[in-house]
Amino acid sequence: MYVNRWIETHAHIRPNKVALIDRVSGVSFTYLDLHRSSHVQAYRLASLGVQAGDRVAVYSQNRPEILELLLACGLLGACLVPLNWRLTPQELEKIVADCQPKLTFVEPGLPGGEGLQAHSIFELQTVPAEPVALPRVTPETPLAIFYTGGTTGVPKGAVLTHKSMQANAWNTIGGWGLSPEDIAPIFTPMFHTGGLNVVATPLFCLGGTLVLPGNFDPAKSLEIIEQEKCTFVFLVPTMYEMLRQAPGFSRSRVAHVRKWISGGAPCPKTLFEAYWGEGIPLIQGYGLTEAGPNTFGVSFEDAQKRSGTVGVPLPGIEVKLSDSEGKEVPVGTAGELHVRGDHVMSGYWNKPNETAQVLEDGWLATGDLAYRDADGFYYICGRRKEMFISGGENVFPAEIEEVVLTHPNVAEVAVVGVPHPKWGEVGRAYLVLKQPAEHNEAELVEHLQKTLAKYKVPKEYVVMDSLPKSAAGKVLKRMLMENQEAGAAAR
Amino acid sequence: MFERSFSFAGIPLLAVSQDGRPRPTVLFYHGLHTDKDTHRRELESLAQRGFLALGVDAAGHGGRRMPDLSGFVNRGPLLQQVAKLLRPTLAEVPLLLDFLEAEGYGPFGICGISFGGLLSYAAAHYDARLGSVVAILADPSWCHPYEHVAAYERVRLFAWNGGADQHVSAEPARHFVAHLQSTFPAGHYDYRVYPESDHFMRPEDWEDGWSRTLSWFEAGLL
Repeated sequence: MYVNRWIETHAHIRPNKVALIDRVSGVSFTYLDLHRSSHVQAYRLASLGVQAGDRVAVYSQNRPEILELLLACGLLGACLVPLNWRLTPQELEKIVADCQPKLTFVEPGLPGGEGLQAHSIFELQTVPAEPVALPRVTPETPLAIFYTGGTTGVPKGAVLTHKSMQANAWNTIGGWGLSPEDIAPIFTPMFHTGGLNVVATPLFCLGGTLVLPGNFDPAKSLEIIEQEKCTFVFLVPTMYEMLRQAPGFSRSRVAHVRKWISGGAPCPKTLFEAYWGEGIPLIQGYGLTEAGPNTFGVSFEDAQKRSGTVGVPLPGIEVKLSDSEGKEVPVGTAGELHVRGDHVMSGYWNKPNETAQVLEDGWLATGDLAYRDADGFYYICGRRKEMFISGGENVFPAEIEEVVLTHPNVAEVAVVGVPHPKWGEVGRAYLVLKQPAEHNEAELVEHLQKTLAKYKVPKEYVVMDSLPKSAAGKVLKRMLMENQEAGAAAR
Repeated sequence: MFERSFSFAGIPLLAVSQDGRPRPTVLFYHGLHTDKDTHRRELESLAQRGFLALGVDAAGHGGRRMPDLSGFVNRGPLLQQVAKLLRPTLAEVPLLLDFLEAEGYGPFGICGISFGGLLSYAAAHYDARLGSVVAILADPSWCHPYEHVAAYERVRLFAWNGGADQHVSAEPARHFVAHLQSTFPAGHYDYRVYPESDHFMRPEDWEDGWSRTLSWFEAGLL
């Protein structure tokens, strides 16, 4: 039932199967190795005073030690808190104050970690590892806390238990059709659930192989995918764009990859089409830290046939769409996406009020708007809080952004609703342009009017050098708005 | 020559032998701040004599190197810090031998230089499967070998040092070998000092010591 049982079982049944390849150090671990090393690390943590119920924080790039620590925490009934190394010291301070780790490990030299009261992650190997009796771990024992909230404000720690990570693994294996022969590189940082739980823990559950390639470099990453004969790739859209432009990128080099999934942020249709044009079956994933994250699954055929769909719920997941009064909406109508299942977090760490706002009767209110077609396929429209009303019509920024990106001179876009004296709210588009000197706003508006209803076409345009983004690659719209408001106030 | 870099239980290894088939095996441990690849020449010469030579990256070194190893080593008394690396490395020796034994390799010897020599002294009484031991440029005192003298009765031990070594005194090794020779007269123990060599040995002394090392393992393991 528990996460550590996966490793133990594989260590007995297929001890020599490679579980993990660290391309940075050249070291690989079989399942037997991982079973042993997770126990050794658990004994080391115990000798440093870690007990059941404690938190252990880690501030490191993707390294085998993070996975060992996760498993070691699992054995001890402790809880791993991977810290985001893209946060400011002040933001990290808030998280540490919230979760109060018994121990923190940092990767020396990784900027931003200097202020943490911490041990070197490299020196963990020098700590004595005297075997200790391991406590009883229940399905409800917290195993990891992922801090989220980069796009909405104060970080909240989503608590994932053994049960929720087990359920996510089973849902993913069943819904996405993972196999023990799958080999997946982990490019996204493991301080996000995307790095640890989209592929890594499901593959450990199944006995597959993970590859830690080090920092994302498009050319190097392409080489690693090719050399390790990876079969499953998960990246955020920005990485997909960079990978596609890596020298020598071609389908023939990556033909062994049978599943390509984009997640972390909405993927522009133009990017899908670019991959599809190469004969690469890229599909859109959807998930969230508080649930799994994996929630939907879709075949490549349906992804092509039903543009923009994230598919159908994975096995073990209930889904409903509700209006603002909590009533379920009919087919074709957007409502807030709610999910229920064992994969859902147990709550936000130390935040009962925030937990109560999103969890009721096991249903997690995702804050995302979605609609369902008559065949049961779901489509994400955007964040509920991002939706604005213009002249009485609901407007979903994600829909507009998709269209703006079809303009040849637009590299990136973020649309938000801003107050308007006549329409209540109108769209404002923040643009990053490929050739700023060639920008023609009237021509862009004309382009949009061909596809969008007039009330959806943004009324204001702001050209920027780049858009502020979270570590997961999501555009920080709140920051855009704040900066704009601050600028307006200053003027 | 068969050569393969791989890892077992997270321990980076370099195996060199004539053909990769099971055969008598020598674990080889490098010095401080170096790694399993540093002594490739010595590994190859062991392989040419018919052994599987298995170079091992110690904790904190090579494939699992601490980026701040120098800082770590200098953070306290040298031997105290070095022991923090030696102990986990020593704890891995039985794991490695289990693995090799299961694959049909053996009998086993161990050879180490300086930091690796310290490890070799300790491993000799830590795992009874190590029948032949060569400790080079090392002082056995760190692992309190006199408290484990009985365990050395079955071990063939050859130690050699530089007489002009400013870092590692030759005397403790000489004294310990002499003690074993007097305690177990039927045992196989040898000691050699190269008076003009310091910690970085004169090439001719190294060649002589290494040639005797090869012969020592041949006599003990083949």
